[in-house]
Amino acid sequence: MAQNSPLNVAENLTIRSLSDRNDFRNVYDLSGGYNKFGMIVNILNLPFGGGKQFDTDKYEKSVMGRGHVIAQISAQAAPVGTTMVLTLAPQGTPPSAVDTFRVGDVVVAADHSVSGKVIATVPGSITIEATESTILAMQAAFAVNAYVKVLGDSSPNFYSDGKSPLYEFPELIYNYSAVKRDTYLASRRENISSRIYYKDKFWGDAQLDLMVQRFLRQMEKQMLFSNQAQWTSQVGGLSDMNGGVRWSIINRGGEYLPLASALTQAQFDNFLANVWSRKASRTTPLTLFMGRGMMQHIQRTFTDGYIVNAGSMNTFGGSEVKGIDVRTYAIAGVEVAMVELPVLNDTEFFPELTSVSGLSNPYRQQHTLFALDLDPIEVKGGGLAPAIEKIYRGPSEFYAGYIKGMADAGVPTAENFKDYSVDIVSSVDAHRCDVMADNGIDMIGKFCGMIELIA
Amino acid sequence: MNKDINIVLTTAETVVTAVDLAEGLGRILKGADVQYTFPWKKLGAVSKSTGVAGAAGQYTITPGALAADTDYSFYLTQVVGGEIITERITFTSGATAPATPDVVCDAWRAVIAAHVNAGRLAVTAGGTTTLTLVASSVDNYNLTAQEISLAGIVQNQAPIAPVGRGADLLAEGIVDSFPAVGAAAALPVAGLSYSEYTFELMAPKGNGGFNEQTSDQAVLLKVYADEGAPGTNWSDLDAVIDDVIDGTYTAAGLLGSNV
Repeated sequence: MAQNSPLNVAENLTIRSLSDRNDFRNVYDLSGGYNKFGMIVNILNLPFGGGKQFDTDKYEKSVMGRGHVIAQISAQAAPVGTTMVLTLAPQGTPPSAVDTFRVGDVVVAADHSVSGKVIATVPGSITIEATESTILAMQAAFAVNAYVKVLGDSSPNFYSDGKSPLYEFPELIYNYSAVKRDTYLASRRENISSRIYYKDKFWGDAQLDLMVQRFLRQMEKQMLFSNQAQWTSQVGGLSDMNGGVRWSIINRGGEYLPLASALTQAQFDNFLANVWSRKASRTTPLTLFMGRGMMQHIQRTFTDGYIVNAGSMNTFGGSEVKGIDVRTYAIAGVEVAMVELPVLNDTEFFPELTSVSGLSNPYRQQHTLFALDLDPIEVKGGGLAPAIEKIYRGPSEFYAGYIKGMADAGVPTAENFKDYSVDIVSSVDAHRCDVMADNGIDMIGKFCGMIELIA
Repeated sequence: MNKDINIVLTTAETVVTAVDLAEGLGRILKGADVQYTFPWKKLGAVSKSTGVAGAAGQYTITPGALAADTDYSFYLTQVVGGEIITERITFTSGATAPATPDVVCDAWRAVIAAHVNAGRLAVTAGGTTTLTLVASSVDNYNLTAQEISLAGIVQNQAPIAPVGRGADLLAEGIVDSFPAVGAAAALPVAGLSYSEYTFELMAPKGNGGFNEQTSDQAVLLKVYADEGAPGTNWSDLDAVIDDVIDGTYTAAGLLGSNV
């Protein structure tokens, strides 16, 4: 039955409540696409079979350094003729006497114009004799707190004999593969019709895909920032966590520059030099993964000395003016490529502001920089391994299973009800999907470095 | 090289008669029951190392004149886990000079804390207008500081390595080689300080000799004595060793003899 009203259509509440909304079935993706590092790690591992599978408690690696024999001098005895005894500062934790010098070793300190030869050793001290220098010069060179180090051997010209042996042993380092889980669970009644759609289906169907995407995004963050740990959790017991990129650099001898003030160009150059010097040679430039804040800081602050009066083309009056965007940097034989790592720019996850003055970009994590050596690591005796190794425990890296519940059961009829059987595995009125990864990365941090703000 | 022979003297066993030389034999007496002997003429050299408590390196570092756009930096070097680690501790002032030295010290402390939390340095940082630094334990005693820019450094305590700590000997796996029959082998005791007396000797060869070897074997016999033994027990024993080392041992017509 029609009703008459003095109100116009727009003001009529009945009509307003019956009015339709615009179609907002498409859900726009505001995540911004923050997966990049995981992709790079995958690419690094492709030539090596995609990842390293193992079945033990830990993923262990043997590593060896350069095996220098070096010690700090803690005391210098008065010379006897042209010889003197040096007491060496104990090394290790707890400290133990240094016993790696051998008779016949030629030793030097900082001043390479003065050398001596080891003529006797006992744990914790060596007796050296003058070679080309006077004992006075040796006293000055091998002073307390100086480092005494073996340059090589010097044996007599006639009837020389062998040396006491010195053995080299690798250091065993390890990392854990970490179990990570996520779950999609939906009751049959949750699967409602909705205005918003996902792939032409109702939004309830999106939750499965969204869960997987969330799982992968979190995995990328863990690759970068997870700390290695094994502990007994109050929830579930023994648990492993994988040491990620940051942990590896800090704990495996990489260069670490924490800053409570703005990075200066001198500090940046020294940092690069220190990272670069960790290897004799590189086949690819060092790759600097950084947040936008660091990229801005470097380009805004460190280009002044290089880009001055580039010409009329680089003025506002010129054509094709594009400003400054420096993506490579080279100094004193050090060549680096600068890459933005979007995950560091995520101000929703990293809302922390820096208190460091002089930085135009206020977000602290955007000033993090990882200097990564992406060259494959050489294996003693031959072979190569990826710079950042994907590791997984068990037969596979990922596991996923769709678990059918009552919501997936079929519809029996009166005729077949008694014999009706379907492959559901739960009587709960729901269905679920579980994903699991038992994986991580393993990275030789020694040839890499990182800079981060700590305030 | 043969394994060292270790004799751990307990507090009660650390007495002046624990080491003596007589009748052509060097003798180590461990209590009433256990005696280890070796031919005196097979003894090459004797040395000793007495215990040292150790001291953690300690510094006071003062920022230089406060100014804008200025670098205040120094290096810290420490042996951590057997590695020589050098870290640059740095603060750069911005467009305005720091109001007080505390600003610089706070920043230094924050940088040091990051290294400590990361396990790369083992130091404790304190102070307000100056920075006080001390190695966190004598295990990481070897801390040195060196100025780079506008950081006045004073060493308050030179690092001294600990020597002969019972806990360290335990960690090294030192255990008495000759326990009494039916008794557990003596172990160093954590918390005690030990002297280590080393006898370099050639253990005799032969059937029934040292490990059935067919030639004399170079062996290090190490005796660990508790420096805290009651009265002058340890110092008396130590004096005996000194006499052996410098050749004034009273029974020493043996020295250089062919007995």
